[in-house]
Amino acid sequence: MKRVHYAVIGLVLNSLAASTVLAVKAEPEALVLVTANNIHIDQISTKEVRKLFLGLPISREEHTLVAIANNSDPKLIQVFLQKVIFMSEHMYKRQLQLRRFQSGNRRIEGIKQIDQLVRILEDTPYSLTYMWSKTAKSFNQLHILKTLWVFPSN
Amino acid sequence: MTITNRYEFRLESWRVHYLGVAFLLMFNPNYGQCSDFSWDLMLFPHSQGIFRLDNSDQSNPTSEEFVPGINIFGSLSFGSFHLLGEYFLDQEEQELERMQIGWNSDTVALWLGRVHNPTGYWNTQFHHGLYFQTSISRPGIVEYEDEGGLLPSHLSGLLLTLNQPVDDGLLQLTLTLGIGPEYSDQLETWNLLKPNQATHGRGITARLNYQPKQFYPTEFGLAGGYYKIPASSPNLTTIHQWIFSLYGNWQQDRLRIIAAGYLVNNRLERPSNHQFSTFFNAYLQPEFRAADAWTLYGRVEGTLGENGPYQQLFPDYVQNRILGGLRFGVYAENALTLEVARTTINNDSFAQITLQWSALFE
Repeated sequence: MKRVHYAVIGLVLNSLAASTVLAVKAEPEALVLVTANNIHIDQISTKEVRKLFLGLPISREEHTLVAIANNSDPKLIQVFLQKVIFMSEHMYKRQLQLRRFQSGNRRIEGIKQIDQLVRILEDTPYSLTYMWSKTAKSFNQLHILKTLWVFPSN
Repeated sequence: MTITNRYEFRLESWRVHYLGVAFLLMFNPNYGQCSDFSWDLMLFPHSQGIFRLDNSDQSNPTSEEFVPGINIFGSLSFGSFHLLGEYFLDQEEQELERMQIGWNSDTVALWLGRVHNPTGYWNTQFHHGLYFQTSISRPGIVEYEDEGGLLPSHLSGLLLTLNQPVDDGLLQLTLTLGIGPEYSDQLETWNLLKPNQATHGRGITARLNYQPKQFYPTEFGLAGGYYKIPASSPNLTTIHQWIFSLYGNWQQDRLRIIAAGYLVNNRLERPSNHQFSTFFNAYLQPEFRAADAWTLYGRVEGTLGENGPYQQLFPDYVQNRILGGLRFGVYAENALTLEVARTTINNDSFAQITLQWSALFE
């Protein structure tokens, strides 16, 4: 009887693991650039994203784009810095401070609460941020502009 | 102080206060950050104790000093237009260091106002933000005018920067043209708050620099400049100064090396004749970030042709120096730095220990 129980538990665990793998394969984790639905921005290159998040001016339709840093998840910040900005956190922070001090480049606000971040995106014209794709999809108010990086599949 | 002087002093103080209040009002938080309008405020407080050992002349420089001070930086931006101001206060000086209004695009930046003279790397990289520089002291060749410096650190006029991407890198040309200092015991810069107070010279600087990877700190450059400096001295009427400099800032992971060389040629016009004075100065500063909070650094700087007639006009000029230091990032944007140096000023060599707290509040 015990053997039957173990077999059933084994089967359940196997099918759970398989479904998880399938789910991961179906939709890999991705880092995306998002804006509010009510803002229309056609295209933005990765180099422009890098410039924008270094505080340099990027414009669309004669409006300056506003970068907002998503500080809700330490892992997200690390991936963004490593895969998009290509700088360590220390160097990135210092570069932002120096550019503001030297040329009056715009300060990049960092927001820790995801709900607040979404509200700010809705309220601030031409604002953009980055987040995990699954987070972005859970908010109807957001529009994914660009996939910045995808976790490599195993 | 006479009554007239007192009145002038009071008027000057009020003028400074009004300017300060007007500047702070512009930072009304109700404006907030919208798409096109933004503002910024950065405070750089510092405090340092300086202990000088074994200098033969104990009166100057003094053997012990305690120097607290603050540098206030503010900016206003509307789209591509910017207004920047930097005001420095300590026990000895209160001065509007920068006030510039300008327009920036991807490829061009045009500024008007009092700017830092782009003669090399240090001057335009750190300005008066002590927290940003790893070492406590500045190299002698880029010392400010009122600290014994012998090159114009500030110019008031036009600054134009042109950016040209080259593959992954960036080529940048900077031109500055404007009002320079006069000489009266030291170089006296033109003061925006007292525009009619002194005579002043004029100058032009051109700098070309290259970043192998755009947006990253490593860069190399060369600069040249000419300055006509009027002198208010009975036996000196005008100084014609030519500067040529080469510099580099190389940064990789935890290692950083800043180096520069300056060739300075001066023609000193006297009532009856003229005299040439040429010298070369160089410095090398390696830095190693041993851990996230700890940075070890050193600097060697020296002058060839160190007793020329031009340098004799600047008794506080640091001719040679070797130093080592340790910087510790205490908490958030606060740093404690200990620096030990062997310095030669006016042919007098002495040891100096400096302990500094510097911070950035933003």
